[in-house]
Amino acid sequence: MLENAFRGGRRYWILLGVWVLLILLGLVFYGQQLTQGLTITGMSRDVTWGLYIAQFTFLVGVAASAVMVVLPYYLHNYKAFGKMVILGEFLAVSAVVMCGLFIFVDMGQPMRVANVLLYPTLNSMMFWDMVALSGYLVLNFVIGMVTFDAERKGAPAPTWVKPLVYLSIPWAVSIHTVTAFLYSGLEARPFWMTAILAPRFLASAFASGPALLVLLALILRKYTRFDPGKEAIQKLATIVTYAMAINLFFVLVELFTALYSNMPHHVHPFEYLFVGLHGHAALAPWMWVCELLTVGCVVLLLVPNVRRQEKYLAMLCALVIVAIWIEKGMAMVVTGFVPSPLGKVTEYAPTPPEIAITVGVYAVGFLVLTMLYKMVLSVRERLEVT
Amino acid sequence: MDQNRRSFLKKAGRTALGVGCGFPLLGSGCSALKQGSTDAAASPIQWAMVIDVRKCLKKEVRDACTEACHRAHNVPKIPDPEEEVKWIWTEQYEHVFADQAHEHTEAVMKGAPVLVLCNHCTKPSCVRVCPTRATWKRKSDGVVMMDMHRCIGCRYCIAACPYGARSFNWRDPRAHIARDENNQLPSDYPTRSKGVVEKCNFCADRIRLAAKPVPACVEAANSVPGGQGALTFGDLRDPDSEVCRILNEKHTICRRLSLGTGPNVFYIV
Amino acid sequence: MSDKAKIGAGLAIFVLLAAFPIWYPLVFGGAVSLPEREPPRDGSHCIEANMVARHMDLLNRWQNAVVRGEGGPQYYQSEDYPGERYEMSLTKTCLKCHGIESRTGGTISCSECHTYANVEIRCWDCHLDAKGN
Repeated sequence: MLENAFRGGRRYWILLGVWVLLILLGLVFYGQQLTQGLTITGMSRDVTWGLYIAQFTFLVGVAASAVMVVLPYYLHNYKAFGKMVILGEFLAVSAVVMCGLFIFVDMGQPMRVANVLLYPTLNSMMFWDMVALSGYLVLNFVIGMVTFDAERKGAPAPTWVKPLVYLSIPWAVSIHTVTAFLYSGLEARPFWMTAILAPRFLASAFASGPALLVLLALILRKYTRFDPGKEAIQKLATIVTYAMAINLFFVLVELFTALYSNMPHHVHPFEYLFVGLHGHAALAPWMWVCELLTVGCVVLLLVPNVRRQEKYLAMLCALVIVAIWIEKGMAMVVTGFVPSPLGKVTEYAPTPPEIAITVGVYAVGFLVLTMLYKMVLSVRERLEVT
Repeated sequence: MDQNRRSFLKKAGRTALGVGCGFPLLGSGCSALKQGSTDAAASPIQWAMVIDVRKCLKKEVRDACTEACHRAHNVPKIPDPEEEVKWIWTEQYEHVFADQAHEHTEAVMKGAPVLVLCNHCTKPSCVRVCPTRATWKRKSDGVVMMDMHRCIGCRYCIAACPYGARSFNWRDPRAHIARDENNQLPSDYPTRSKGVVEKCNFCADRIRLAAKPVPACVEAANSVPGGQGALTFGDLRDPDSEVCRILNEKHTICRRLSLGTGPNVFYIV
Repeated sequence: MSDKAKIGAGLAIFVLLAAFPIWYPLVFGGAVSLPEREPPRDGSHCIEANMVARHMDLLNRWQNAVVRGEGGPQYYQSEDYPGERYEMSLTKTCLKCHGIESRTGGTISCSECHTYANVEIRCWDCHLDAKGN
C-alpha cells in the first residue's frame, strides 16, 4: 500500500522535492544549534520557551481534531464523513510527528531524550504528554492503515480495530488536555494557571483542525480526482463555526475575569498582549489582528450562505487557522513569561535560524502528509476504476 | 506463502513486538511506581537561610556573596544580559516582594537591593514538573539538587519556578568563566555544558563535607566588615540553630508565600 | 563484459572496501598500537583489577551515589583488594592517578585509551582536572 507513495507524476515529485529542500535547510541550521547551543534562538533567561514549543502546542490541537471526523462517523454512523475520516487520521499522524520533532529540537540535550523513558516521573505532566502523544501516534497510524487496507481490499475492517477507534476518541481529547495541563498547573505563571486553558485548547483545536481539513480537501479536489462530497465539507464548516464561536466566548470570558477583577497578576499579561507593558508591545499588533480575525470569522461563518460558497469558506478557514496560530502558536506561550517572576518584561522574537528549523520541521510533517495522502488517493483511484 | 504460514508469522511478529515493547514498558512502569512522593516527608535536616536585608544594603556585602558563590562554582559571566547565568544576585525590593511592596513602603526599603537565590522550597514546583528527576529534593537535608548528567534541557523547571531562580546554559559556558593570571578556573567544581539548567545548590558539595556547614555566600558576607550576620545558614529542624533563634525573635517574610511552595529563604526587612 | 567478469570485479571491489581497515595501515602506515598500561608508579595498584572492563560501571555507580545520594562523603570498598577503601570522586580519586590528556600521574591517561578505541567521552565538557584546568 505504502509503495503508492513512491510512485507519482511530476507535480507530486516536485512537491516532495520542495519539502525535502526545506528539511535540508532546517537540518543545516539544526546542526548549528547542536554545535552552538540554543543561543542561536531568540529565547532568553526570562522567556525560555518560544517558537518551537508554541508550534508544538498548536499542532497538538491539529492532531486532536481528528476526533471531529472520527466521532460522528464511528459513533453516530454519519456516513457523509466516509471519505474524510482517513484524511483526518493521517493528518493527526503528521501533526503528532511534528509535535515530537518540535520537542526534540527544543531540547538542550537532545541526545538524552531517552532519559524521559528511562526515568519515568509520574508527577511530571511532560512525561504523561509524551505517553499520550506516542500512544496517539501509534493508535492513529494503526487505525488508519488497517481501515484503509480493508477499504482497499473491499472487505470489512478486522474486528479488533473497532475498540482502538473507540479508544482514540477520548485519547484525542486527552492529548490536548494533558498539553494544557503542562501549562495550567504552574502556580508561577498566572496567565497560564486557569482552568479554562484546557477547554480553550480544545475549542481552538476543533476550529483549526477541521478548518485545515476543509482546506486540504478543497486542495485535493482541485488537483486530484478526490472529492469528499459537499455534505462532508459543509459539516466540517459547521464544526469550525461553532468551535470558533466557543473559542471566542472563552477568550471573552478570560478577559472578563482578568480585567474586571483588576488583579495585577491577571491584568498584566493581557495588558502586555493588547496594549503593551512597561513600554514593550511587540505582540499587540498580532493580537488585535488575531481577535479581529476571530470575530470576523465567527460572524461570517455563522451565515449559512457564506459557508455554502466554497471560495468564501476556503478563505475563512485559512483565516481561522491564521487566527488560532497567532493565538496558540505565538501569543500563548510567550505571554506566560511576561512579566517574569521578578516583574521584568523581556520580549521575544524568533531568529532566522530558529525560523528555518521550524520550517524544516513543518516540511517533515507535510512530507509525511503528502506521502500518506498520495497513498490514499492512488488506492482510491484504482478502486474507482475497477 | 500459504495462509497458515503467513498467519503464523503475523501472529509471531505481533507477539514479539508485544513482548519487546511490553517488558521495557512494564519495567518502566514498575520503577515509576516505586518512586516515593515528591513531597518532603519531614527530612531529618532542612537547611534554610535568613537574609537581613538592611545589613545587605551595603554593596560590598552583596558583591562579596555573589563573587564568592560564582567563583566557588565556576558560574560563567555571559556577556548577553538576556542569557545570564546567575545563582545569587541582587534585585529591587518591589520586584522581590511584589505582594508586599506598596506606594507607602518605608523609605529605606523603597528600591532597596535584595539578594535573591533559590529558595529550596519545601514543596518545590520545579521538582514536581521535571520529567526525568534531574532535579529533586534531597531527603536527608532538603536541598533541591541538580543532576547535570540527567538534565535534558527541556526548561520545564524554569517555567515552573515562581522565583526566577534557575538559569539555562544557552551556550557553552566555559569560555565565559573568568580565569586567573595562570589561566586557571576559579575552582575545580565541574563547569556545566551547554543545554542544561543550573541554580544555587546551597553549596551541597561544601556542606556535606564540613563539620560546620556554611555556604560560600554566607562565609563571604560574614567576613566583610559590617556584613557579620547579613546571611545566616542553619537547620530548621534544630531548635538550637542560629536560624531558628532568629526566626523566633525577628519578623521575617518570604517571597510569594501564597503560592504554597514553602520557601526556606527568609528575609528580615 | 560477461557475467562472470562483472561478478568477479564486483567481488574484488567489495573485498577491497571491506578489508580497508586492514590493508590501509599496512600500506600507508600510521597504525596506532594498543596503549601501554603500566601499574601505578608508587607501587600501589588500581582500584580494581581489570579497570578497562570495570571503570564505566564504577563511574556510573559513583556518580549515582555521590550526585544523587544523601550527601556526606561516600566511600567505595574495593572488591579485588579487600580492605582498600577509596573516596568516590572523579576529581579526587580517579584523576589523582589518571591525567585527562597526558600521563601526568604516571598512569595511563583517559584520552590515550579513548582515542585508541575511538570512544568519545563527554566527561571533560564539565569535569575539570584537580587543579582547575
